[in-house]
Amino acid sequence: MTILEMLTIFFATVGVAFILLASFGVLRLPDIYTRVHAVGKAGTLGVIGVLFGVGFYFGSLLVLAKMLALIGFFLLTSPVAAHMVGRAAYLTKVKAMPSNAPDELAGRYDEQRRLL
Amino acid sequence: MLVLNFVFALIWMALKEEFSFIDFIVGFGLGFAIIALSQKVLQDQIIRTSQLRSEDSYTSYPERTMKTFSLMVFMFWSIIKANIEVARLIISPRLNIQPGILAIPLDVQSEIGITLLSNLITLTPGTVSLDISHDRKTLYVHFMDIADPDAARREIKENFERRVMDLFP
Repeated sequence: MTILEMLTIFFATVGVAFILLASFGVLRLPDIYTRVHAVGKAGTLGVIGVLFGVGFYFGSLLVLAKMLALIGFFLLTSPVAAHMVGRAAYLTKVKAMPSNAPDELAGRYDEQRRLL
Repeated sequence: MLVLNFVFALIWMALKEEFSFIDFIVGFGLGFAIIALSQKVLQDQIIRTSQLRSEDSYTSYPERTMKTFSLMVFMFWSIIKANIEVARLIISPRLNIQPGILAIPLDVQSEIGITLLSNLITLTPGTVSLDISHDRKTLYVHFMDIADPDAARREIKENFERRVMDLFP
């Protein structure tokens, strides 16, 4: 087994494992806000791992550079998606799980214009 | 903005691995459309950021590069840490968490800085930024597990905001 093959297997395995964890998180966590955490984080590292795996599989610097570009774009867009999902859920008043911690956003929204 | 357009065309050609005239035209056209659509946002941002920076004390280019690099290393390290933490939480047999939303007062003023900070917050342990107030002074962050609200707030301010502030005031 060459080093490239080993790297491919390593990164692909780590990536797939984290995507699996993210889907477990969606099943296990109690409300939408905590589920966003699972997908937004574990999903991100999962995709990064798989993309690195692809880059090493082809073994050319050009493919690896493309994958790095993809990772960069992904890091830019995935937090925005997580933020929009969370915000939309809050605006449509999806209930959070009962908790002792404070909710300092409560009552801050202008209901009509949906502005803070 | 014309420079940006040429850069887009070059990136397009590099990603297609074809340096022909046709590809240059296609890349240039797409870049043109993107810039035309986002012109208003781009302009505001460039002007605001340069205004903020000129007021600030001058940092040399090597110093800025070093700081950018250390921010990137810090970012990747915290992404990995975040994942392990969330993974541990998901696997643990009993979910014992206290999620909540905290208001974080912001010192960062530039749009780029705020964007970077909120993305960083979303990608790091147990926090997702939800929304920002209209006057860009308060960031609302959802925490997976709050043991001590003040400590959580302080950690965000000291760990992330200070680093982002160094680069984008």
